[in-house]
Amino acid sequence: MLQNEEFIQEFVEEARLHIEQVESDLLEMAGVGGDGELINRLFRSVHSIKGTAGFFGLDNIVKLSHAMENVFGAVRNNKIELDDSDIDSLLKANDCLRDMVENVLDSHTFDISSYLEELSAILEGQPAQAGPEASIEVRDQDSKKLPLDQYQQERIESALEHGQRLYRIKLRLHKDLDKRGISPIAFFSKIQSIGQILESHSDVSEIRDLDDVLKSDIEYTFLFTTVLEKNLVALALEIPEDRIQELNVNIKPNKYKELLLEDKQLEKTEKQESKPETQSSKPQVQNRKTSTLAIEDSIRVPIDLLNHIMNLASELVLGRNQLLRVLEAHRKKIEGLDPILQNIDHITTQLQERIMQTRMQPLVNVFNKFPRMIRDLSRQLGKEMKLKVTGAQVELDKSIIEGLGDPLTHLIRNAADHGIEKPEERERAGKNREGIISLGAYQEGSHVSIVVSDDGAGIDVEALKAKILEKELRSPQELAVMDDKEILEYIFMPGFSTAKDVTDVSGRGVGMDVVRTNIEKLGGTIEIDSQPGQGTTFKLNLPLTLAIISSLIVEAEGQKFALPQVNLQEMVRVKPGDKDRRIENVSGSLVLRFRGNLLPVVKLSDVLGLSEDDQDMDEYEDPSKIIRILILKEGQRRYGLIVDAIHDDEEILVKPLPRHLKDCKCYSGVTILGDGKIAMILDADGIAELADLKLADVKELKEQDTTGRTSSEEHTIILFSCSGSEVLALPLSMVSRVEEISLDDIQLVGDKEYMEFRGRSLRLVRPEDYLPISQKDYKGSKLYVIVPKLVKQPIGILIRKVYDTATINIDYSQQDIKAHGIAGTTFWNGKIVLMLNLYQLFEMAAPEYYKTSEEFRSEAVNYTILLAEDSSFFRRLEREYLEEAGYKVLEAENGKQALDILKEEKVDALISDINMPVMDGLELISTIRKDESLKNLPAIAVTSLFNDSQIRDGLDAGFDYYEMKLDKDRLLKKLDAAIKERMSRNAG
Amino acid sequence: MQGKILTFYLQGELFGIDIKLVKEINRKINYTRVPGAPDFLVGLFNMRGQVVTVFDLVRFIYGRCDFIPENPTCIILKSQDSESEHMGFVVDKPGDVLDVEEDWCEPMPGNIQHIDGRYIKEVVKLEDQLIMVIDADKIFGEDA
Repeated sequence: MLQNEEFIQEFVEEARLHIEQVESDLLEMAGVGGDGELINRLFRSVHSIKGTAGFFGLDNIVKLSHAMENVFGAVRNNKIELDDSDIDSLLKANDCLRDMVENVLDSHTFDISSYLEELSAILEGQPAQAGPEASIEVRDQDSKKLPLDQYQQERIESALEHGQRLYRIKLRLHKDLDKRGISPIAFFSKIQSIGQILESHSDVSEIRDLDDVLKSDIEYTFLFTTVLEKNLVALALEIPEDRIQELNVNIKPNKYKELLLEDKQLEKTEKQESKPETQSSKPQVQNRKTSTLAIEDSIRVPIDLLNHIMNLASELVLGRNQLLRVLEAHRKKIEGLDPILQNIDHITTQLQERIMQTRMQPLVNVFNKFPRMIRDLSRQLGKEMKLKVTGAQVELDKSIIEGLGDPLTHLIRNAADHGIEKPEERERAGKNREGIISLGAYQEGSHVSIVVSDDGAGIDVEALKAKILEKELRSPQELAVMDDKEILEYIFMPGFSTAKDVTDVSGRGVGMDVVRTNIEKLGGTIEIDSQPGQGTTFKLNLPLTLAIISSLIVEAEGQKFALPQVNLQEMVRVKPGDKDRRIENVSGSLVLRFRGNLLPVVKLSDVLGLSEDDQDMDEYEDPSKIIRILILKEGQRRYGLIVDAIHDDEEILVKPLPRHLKDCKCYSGVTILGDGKIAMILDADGIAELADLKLADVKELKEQDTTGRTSSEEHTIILFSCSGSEVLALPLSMVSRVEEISLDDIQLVGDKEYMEFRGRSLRLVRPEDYLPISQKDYKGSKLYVIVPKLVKQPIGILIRKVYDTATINIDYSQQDIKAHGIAGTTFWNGKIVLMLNLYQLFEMAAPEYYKTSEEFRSEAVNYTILLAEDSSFFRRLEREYLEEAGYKVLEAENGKQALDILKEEKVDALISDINMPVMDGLELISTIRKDESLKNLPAIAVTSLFNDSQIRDGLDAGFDYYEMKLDKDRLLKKLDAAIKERMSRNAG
Repeated sequence: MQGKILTFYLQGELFGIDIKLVKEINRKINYTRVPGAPDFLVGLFNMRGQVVTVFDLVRFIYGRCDFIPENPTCIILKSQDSESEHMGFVVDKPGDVLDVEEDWCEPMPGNIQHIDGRYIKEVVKLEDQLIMVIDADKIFGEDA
């Protein structure tokens, strides 16, 4: 019996899918009208429900789906056309079907008569009864069932015309299927793969409820057409031949219905000999073909099992990490170990990825219900609305999909209720009467974005302001300086519903705050944008999976913690004496003065109660101490978290908090790090709460004094990775080409790798050989080579993957991850990006070309170079190689600053950019050349882009040389030459 | 009770736990403290990929905090089912496994002042010593 219950469960799951399909197809039909494929699909869906329900004697479900099938059949044969109210009737019937399927055990108690009447009314109201099929003479006996009979007779006729045979099959669920371990669903799909079911019937007269069905082993009868012969049908369906009767093709069509029920009559009409066997020449082929058709390409797996497998895979990952760590030292010593480890590493990663994939589901599972909702809401609200759905195929982890239903429902209801205006209002505003709500999803790196937008009236910012004042959340003065975006954020506060009249549909003062909480629980964020008169847009950013997140490992009081990257905005290092960023005490709380803002700051060890004694401000003024601050964002809050140390970023597996730690607000979970130790996952929101940060109050106080300048600047960068997981980047302006190559293109000469590039051999370097980033084996044969430009001796950088190019604000003064060869860090899609310092890398890789020659070193001593350069990135690079060569360097950001410095300091030479704000390089040099005391200053112009006329302009204006910024070696030579020339000229 | 108990030492005294509840004994565990956790919670440790919540029984039984060494020995309890979390507790050192007869057991005598009788299920009288059998439900159970 247990298996029967499983079968029923299987039926329910299957039927659900069909019902969903029917709903979305009906809606599509209502929208754009039905084409042949659509109506066929509708027909097949209800037909499948009907067929399988018949096995279980689910009479009501059979009747209703049958009635729907008839309507679809008539539409398919162009007998009738459906209008809007017909589609409504069908939708209602489909809803009832869904209810019955969801309560399958009680489905016989449903009253379906009203639905049946409506459906038959659709058919009866049609003139189609006088159809063209004159050959079919039945119509008189049972007028109510006439359309049905007529339609099915047509099918029989057409089947027979195509040389198909008509069979009657009688089966007992238990005896013939269950015992053989065949599920009714599988059986049904098998039948459909070899032929067509015309009519089915279960003898349910004895049956009261589903329990009876399961016990009494009812008989299920169906009429079925196929080209196969009887013995082949038996083979294909794996049922005994004696269950199948071939029916006489000459049977009166109007009597077939009775035949189905009356055994004896059937016996008589059974054909004694089959027709000439057209298929007999290759029965085996035929048989094989049918069995392949029946193979399913997917199987059902219980979620429990999947979760268990995922846990095991996660543990395997941890085990692998530990194994690698322990054996790292022995890799070289034990012969053959290395490839084995790499293989295990690779397979484990693959396995984990694949298993994660099994949990991925398309968003269509949630998006599905919205077209219907909008249709219903349009009626209810008296508005004209359309829902545009895109990206429904985008996949997310099952648990996230499940958690999205409520928030999205809320957002879409809101859009329909508050967003879209009444048709008349829209017309007055010069818009289309029909409002458009769009629901779209797309994947962006490791995140999925879902956008819900409407073209309605937009959110009334003034009403919001009034509400803010009414609730005394802000003073009028404060409101005056807030921009609309900040004010819109208040929509996410509890009790903020601006709808003037509260309706059934949405808006009872609960809502957006719950939406945001729900989205954040899923590890996502929500943003709002609204333009008066043009509509409102909500953007949800969600992680692909919940179970594995990328996180930064930080340390407080010697203990490691994991901080989800999703909360991390940037990392800041506060050096003592730094004017632009320092920690101050504002009325008892610490704040960070940062980019002109004041940001509340807490110390992790204080929040967690790890520090022994109360720290005072002295600590932050200790000149020897560098303070590391993580800027975190949770919801609309932003604050700084001081940690003792920052380690790598690590992909961690989130395990739930143990029961006894549920009260610890500052953690969101537990994970096991690569070293096998457990680390707590920090909860940015909980920490803020625990630290009692009055974030709303201290929220980025605008600082009056705006002298603090930002040291960040925009760069277009190319993002890539080497064999490890770190994301690296280079300014696009330094890249000449990116070539795709295969492993075979690489030639080994000595211990160095080369490839042929434009007829020359190009030395290749792998950054991971020189930089402190992880190193893994290259799998797959495709690689890329970045060929940098503006360098003396081209060296190709061998990388595994190019992600993207992006224009990103890069703060080069952040030096939290500081290593030789790395110029700075930035963020991209929530990941840390390491900016390469190409020169340092090349120096390490090819010191023979790139080491600064000693000749400059000795001479350079005591010379002071003024570097005028507005880009801090280039300033840093240039400064580094000048200093390395032994020069002293002064910096200016533009020509004006450079002149000021020249007046006060002794400078031996100038290196200047051309394009600078305030005063450019050309103006600078002409001013210098006019100045009596400065006119002999050696001066070199540097730029990253130039042509001949620019060079001429530069030299005409008074520069000694015109060089490329990034050709370090040449620049140093020219600098040396310029100084010498000017000195000899002076002497002479 | 009738059956086997695993004995262990806390604060120099002999305790016991029904062996059917015990999964294994882990020595020299490397655990992680959890700042902000309840004081009876020693920390968490990684038992082959499973997170084990480690308790300080001294806190329950003696009502005071124990000094927990760097790498203590820990008795891990069986978990109810595959879904529920793993729990364990720190002991000074594990003892033996003993067969106990029903008639050796008595309720906790009222005159023992320094021990919280609520967490002791019964006392087993051996010839030369007493074993206090802990009530795991009261300490580790869902409603504890």
